[in-house]
Amino acid sequence: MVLLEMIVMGLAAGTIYGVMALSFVLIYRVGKIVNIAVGDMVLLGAYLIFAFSGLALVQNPVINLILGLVLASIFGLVIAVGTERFLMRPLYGQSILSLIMMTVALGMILRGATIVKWGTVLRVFPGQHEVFPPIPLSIGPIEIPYVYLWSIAGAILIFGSFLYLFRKTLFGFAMRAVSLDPEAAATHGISIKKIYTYTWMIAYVAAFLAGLVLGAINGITVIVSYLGLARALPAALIGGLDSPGGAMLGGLLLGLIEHTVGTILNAYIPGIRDIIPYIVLLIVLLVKPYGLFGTVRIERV
Amino acid sequence: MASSRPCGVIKESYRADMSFFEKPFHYWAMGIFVLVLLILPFTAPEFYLDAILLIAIFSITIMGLNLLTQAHLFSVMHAALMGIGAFTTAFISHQVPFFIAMPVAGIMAALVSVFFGLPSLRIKVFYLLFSTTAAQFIIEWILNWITRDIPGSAVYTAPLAVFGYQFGVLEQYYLYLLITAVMAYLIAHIGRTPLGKAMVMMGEKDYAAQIQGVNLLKFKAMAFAISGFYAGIAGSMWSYMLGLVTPEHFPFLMSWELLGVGVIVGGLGSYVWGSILGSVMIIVVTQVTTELVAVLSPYMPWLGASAFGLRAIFYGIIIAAILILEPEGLANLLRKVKRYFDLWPFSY
Repeated sequence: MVLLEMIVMGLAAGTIYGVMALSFVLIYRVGKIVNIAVGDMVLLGAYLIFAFSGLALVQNPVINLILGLVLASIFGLVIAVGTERFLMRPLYGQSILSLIMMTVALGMILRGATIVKWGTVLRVFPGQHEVFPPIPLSIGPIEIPYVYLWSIAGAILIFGSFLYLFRKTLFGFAMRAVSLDPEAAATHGISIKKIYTYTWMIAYVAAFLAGLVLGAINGITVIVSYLGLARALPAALIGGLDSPGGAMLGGLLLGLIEHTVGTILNAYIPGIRDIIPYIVLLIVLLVKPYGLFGTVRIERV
Repeated sequence: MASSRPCGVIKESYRADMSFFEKPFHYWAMGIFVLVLLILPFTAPEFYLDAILLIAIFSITIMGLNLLTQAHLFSVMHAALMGIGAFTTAFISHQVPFFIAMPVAGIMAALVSVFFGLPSLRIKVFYLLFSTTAAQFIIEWILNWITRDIPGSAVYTAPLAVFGYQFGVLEQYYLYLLITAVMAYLIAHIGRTPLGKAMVMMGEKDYAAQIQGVNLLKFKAMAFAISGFYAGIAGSMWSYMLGLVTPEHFPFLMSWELLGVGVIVGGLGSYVWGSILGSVMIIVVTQVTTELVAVLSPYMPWLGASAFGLRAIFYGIIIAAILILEPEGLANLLRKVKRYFDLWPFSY
C-alpha cells in the first residue's frame, strides 16, 4: 500500500518534470540550443506568478493564482522575444559552446534579476493555504497533496495543446520543418526568426507553469532554479533530447524512480534522495546516451 | 601558436621560434609586470593583496579548465574539484607541512577528475556538460556527507607553516606568486608538447584525432588528470588562505563562473594570459559589486543583500557581450594590442 502511494506520488510529480523537460526539449529540437537556463526560467516564473497574483485582482484565491499565471505568461512572451532577439540571434550558426554559454549568461541574468528584485527570503504564493491545503486529498487508500492535482491538470493542458499545435496545425508543420532543415524551410517561405521566437515563447510558458508547481511544493527561493535544472536535464535525457513525447515519458519515469527508489534508499542513507536525479542522469548517459526516442547522431570524420 | 605571422616579427633561429617572448619589448613588459607584483606588498593595502592572491588561485584552476575546454571536454565540476583539494588539505594539514599537503590535494582531485572524466570516451560534447553537472552535485553531496557530524560542516585548516616557522602575509604572498608562476610555466609548455597538440586535435574532432594516432583513452584521461591536479592545487591554496572550508565555498554556480567568465571571457586556448584575464574578471566583478552595493545601499535600501544577484547579472552581461563582440575572449584583445606595438609607430 505504501508502495502504491509512492508510485502514484511519483507519477504525479513526474508530470511537472515532463513539462520542464518539454521546455528544454523544444528549444533543443527546433533551435539546436542546449538550454542550461531552464531552471532559471522556472525560477523567474515562480516569482512572476507570485508578483502578479500578489496584486489580488480577484477575490477568489484559486482564480487569482490562475490569473497570476496567465499574466506572468504574457510577460514571459515579452521576455522570450527579448531573449531571442538580443541574446540568441547574433549567435546563430556559431559553435555549440558559444550557444551553450549564451544560455548560461541568460540564466545568470534571469537569476540575478530575481535576487535583486525579490531577495533571498523564502516566499509563498498568496492564498497558498486555501489553494493548496496542507491536508492531502484521500482517494481510497491513497493520499495525494493538492499541488499534484494542479500539476497533472496543467501538464495535460499544456501537453495536449502543444501536441495538437505541433502535430496537427500548419504552424507545427513549419516548426518541424525548421527543426529538420532551417535553410530548406527558409527557401519555402517560412520565417525562421519567427519560428525561433515562438519556440522560446512556448518554452517560457511551460517553464512558468512548472514554476507555479515547484514554487508551491518547495516555497519560492533560488533553490527552485537548481531543482528545475536537476529534474529537467535527466527527464529530457531519458526520453531523448529531441522528442517532445519522450520528454513526458522521461519526466514520469524520473518521478517514479525518485519517489520509489529514492524514498527507499533515503531510509538507509539520509539525504541521498537529493542526488538521485543526478545518479539517474549519469546512468542514462552511460547506458543510452540518445535516450529512448532520441535521434542517434552518426558522426562523420 | 603563431600560425600567421604579421610583418615585423622576424625569427632567425629555431631557438627564437620556440621562445615565449617574440620581441625585446615583451621581455620588458613581462619584467615590469613581475617587478610591480613583487613591490606591491610594500605599497598597497592588504585588501589588494588578498584580491591578487584570489586572482592567482582562480587563475590556476582556470588554466587547467582552459586546457580541458580546448580539447572540447566541457567540465562544470571544477568548483567541486577545488573542494576536493581544499578538504583534503584541511584534513591532512595538521599532520604534514604544506609542500606535501598541496601535491597530495592535487593528486586526490586528479583521481576524482579522471573517475568522472572517463565517461567522456563515450559521452560527447554537451552531454559531457550534463555528466559533469551530475558529478558536481554528487561530489558536493559527498563532501556534505563526510562532514555531517561537524557543526556547520566547517573544517579548519592549519596555518601555513614549515618546520615550526609561521608564514606571514608577505611570505604567503610570495609563495603563492611562485606557485602560480611555476604552474603557468608548466601549462604554457604543455601547449607545445604532443599532449597539447593532441588536445587541439581532439577539440577539432576526436574521431579524426584517433585516425591520426591519438590514443583517446590515454589523452582524455591525461587531460582530466592535469586539469584536476590544477584545480586541486588551487583548492589547497584557497584552503590555506581561508583557514576554514565548508562545502558552501564550492557551489555549482562557481563552476559555471569558472567556465563562462574564466575560460570563455578570458580566452579559450590562451592558457596563461587568457586564464589570468578571466580570473581577474571574476575577482574584479565580485569586488566591484560588493563596493557598489555598499555605496548605494544607503540610498537604495532594497538593494540590501543582493550583491550576489547583482554580480550574477554582471557576469551574464559580460559573457553575452564577449560572445557577441569578441568571441575569442579578452586574450585576443591583448594579442591585438601586442600586434599593434610590434610595428609601432609605423603600423599598417
